[in-house]
Amino acid sequence: MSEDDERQQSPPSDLEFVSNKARNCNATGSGSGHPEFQSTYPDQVLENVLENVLHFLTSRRDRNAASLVCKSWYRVEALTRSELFIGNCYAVSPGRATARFTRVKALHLKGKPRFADFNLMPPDWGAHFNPWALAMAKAYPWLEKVHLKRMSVTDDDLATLAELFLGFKELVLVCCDGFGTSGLAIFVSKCRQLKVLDLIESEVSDDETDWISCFPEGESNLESLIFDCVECHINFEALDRLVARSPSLKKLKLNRYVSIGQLYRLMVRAPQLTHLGTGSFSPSDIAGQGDQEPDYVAAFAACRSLVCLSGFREIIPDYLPAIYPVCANLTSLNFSYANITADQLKPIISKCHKLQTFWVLDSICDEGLQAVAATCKDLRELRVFPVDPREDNDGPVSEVGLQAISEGCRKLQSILYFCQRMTNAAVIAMSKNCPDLVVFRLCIMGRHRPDPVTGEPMDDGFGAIVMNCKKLTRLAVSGLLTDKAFDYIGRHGKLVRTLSVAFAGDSDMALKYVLEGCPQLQKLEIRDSPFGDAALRSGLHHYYNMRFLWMSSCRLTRHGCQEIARAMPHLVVEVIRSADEEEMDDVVGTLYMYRSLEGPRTDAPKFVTIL
Amino acid sequence: MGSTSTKIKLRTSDQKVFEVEKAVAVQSQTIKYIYENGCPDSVIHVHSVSGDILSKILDYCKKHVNSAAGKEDISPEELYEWDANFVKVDQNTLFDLILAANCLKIESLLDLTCQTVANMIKGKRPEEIRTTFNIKNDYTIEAEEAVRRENKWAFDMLGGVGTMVIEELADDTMSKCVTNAKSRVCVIAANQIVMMRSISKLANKKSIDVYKQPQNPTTPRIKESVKQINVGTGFIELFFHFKCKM
Repeated sequence: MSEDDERQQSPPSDLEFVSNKARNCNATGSGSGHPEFQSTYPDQVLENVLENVLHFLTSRRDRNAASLVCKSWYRVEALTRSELFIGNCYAVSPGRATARFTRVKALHLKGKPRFADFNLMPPDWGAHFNPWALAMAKAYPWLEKVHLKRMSVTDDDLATLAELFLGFKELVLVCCDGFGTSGLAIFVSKCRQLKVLDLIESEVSDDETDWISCFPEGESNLESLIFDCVECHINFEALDRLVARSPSLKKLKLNRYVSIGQLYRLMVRAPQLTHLGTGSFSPSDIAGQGDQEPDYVAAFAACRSLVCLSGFREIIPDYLPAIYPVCANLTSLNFSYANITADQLKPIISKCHKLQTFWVLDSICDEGLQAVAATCKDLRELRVFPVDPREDNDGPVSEVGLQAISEGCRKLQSILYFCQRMTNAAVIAMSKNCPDLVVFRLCIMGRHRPDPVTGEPMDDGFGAIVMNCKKLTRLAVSGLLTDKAFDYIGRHGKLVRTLSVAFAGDSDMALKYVLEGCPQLQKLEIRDSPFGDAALRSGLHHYYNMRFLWMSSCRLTRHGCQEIARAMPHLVVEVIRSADEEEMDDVVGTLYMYRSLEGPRTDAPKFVTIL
Repeated sequence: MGSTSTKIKLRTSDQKVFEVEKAVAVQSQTIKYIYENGCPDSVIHVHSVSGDILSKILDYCKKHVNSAAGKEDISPEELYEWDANFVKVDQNTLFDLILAANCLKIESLLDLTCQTVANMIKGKRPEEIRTTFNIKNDYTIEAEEAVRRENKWAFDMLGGVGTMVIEELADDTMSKCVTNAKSRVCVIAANQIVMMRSISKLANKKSIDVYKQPQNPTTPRIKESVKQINVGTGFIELFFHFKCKM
């Protein structure tokens, strides 16, 4: 057994291993020799183990960089990418995506632009999930997660997901439509590994199918079930049984057809919940008068892990004190369906010291906002919605509330504020008091409303925001605004990525300032503002850097849009007609344009013309 | 008592022999398999691994075995730090460790070493990654631009320096692009003379590296130390690399 003997037989080259961990490399028992150990150059070695290494790269920025290093890195990066984000479903075809990335486990896909939420886009415009579902079924049978935003999903698509993806675990549908309870029924019955079913602000048609009963029997893996937007009755007994057999359930958001009595029963079953949507928060009509009221306070007290509370869809404020036990732990509270007064809010909010996210109706008035400012020192996100979204001269919240919030909640990062009146002074104050603001969306509901105290336009207020809030990436403007406001935005809003404009500006210059001044601009949505073809031309140098541009009821002509389409071959320029417009009108009702790798889409409906 | 002090002999590529406790050696799934299926008394040959590397690996395995068995009083945080120090080695050694961990199928060590390399990639631009690992760029300009475009437009992979491709645009639009560009600008234009004049004005104001694409678009680009822009006939592509602040 000398060393010489051992060297005589040489096994297959042990340097030729692949990065796949499952393969055996060459270590053997006694009896075999080996060739000389060769030193390999670092980059060759790296290539061999690149797959293992790239699994540890999760940020999209790093993956972008890796794919550009050289061709072999491109290939390995494509192999190891498991989560795919597609910000515009029409910017790339399903085929191209599946050809490049072959081992995707999770898909995030977005469709329609945001203004579609406000009925500014006719239905059946597009953003169909179907071609993606079919492409995924072929390419990624191991797909586990799908997150869709503003896509049209049919019942058949839901069936596809459940039947063709055996390990499917997570479905999140935000602002989607096109499906109904029968689709849900098929989906939940066949999707045995389901962990997450989140339906958020989606339109679900009522096919009178009892989908809750369709969850398979036996222990369920459910961790999150959100259906507060589903406007149909549900089978409560089936839901009760489902919650009872879902030991991992952490998030449960009920729709308004669940009464407070039923909520009680569910809470007792699932005290481990971290996120709860309470449903109606009022008794059902059939509750007897003499019935003993359950101990709601105790039920809430038992939920020691509750950090996020929402719902209150048809609230009877008398029941509000039940939530006192959880207030101190809450980081997120959503009262945006609860029409409550300041006095009803105060005892609650005074206990919510840890609150970071707060959504509320303006029924709480400036006084309620002052109470928020007094307690919620950690507040990061505030949204104040209108009970009555009409243009009116008087409203319950105003500059007083905004000022109070700016003084009390210095860590504020994101604000959405609907009001009927606002002063420059309050907005300027917020710009100085809340330097961490990333999102500033102010909606003064009357059109062209000036500062009621000074009579001036709101230019200086928004100017202060872009000047003082150095981290600002999202801005929505309103009120009476001249071109000057946009000049400020162009000069100081260097990080702005999303801009929403309505009923603002005097001339083309306004849009020009923005398009020439904001290099990070990705999404621009404009309605009812006096911008025309010249303004549109001023952005030619930037449109390929943007996800999309939306302009409705402005002063664009077909001719002007055609010019853009000709100058920029990779831009899809859609002119969308509303019902009363003729095809050959030169005035453009709605322009929606976006860069795309694929050219014009083939599924455009009749009312869309692609130039 | 016998099984706890069982030793296994390992012979490396450079003929060094190591005698290690079984519990330590079988951290390697490969060794474990051979031991359980081969002759337990013979020497196991570890062909792809040198003595130095195996020695380090055995240190790692021993540390982890002892910590798990409670033989060594070491907290999870301390073990984590020990691991962090373990991988503070030169690049060649690190890659040898990866190769060996892969070969010997020691999953935790493979994860540790690959994570270390991943950390060397994070936050870097493609050029920086190439420099770190001495990698040659085999992309042509068009191919690289196509990837950048696809990354950005389709898959929202933002960030980093990008090449903006401008084709057939009017002068003033193009000069706006060039002025705003934080990154390389690739200009393909038919009317070179007019285009050159406007770019040359900018060239005087900013420090620019000029790249010239060879006539054959499939060969990788080469940097030219051209200070002046020569306008010739025929098809010229110019690439400006602006040293702007990011």
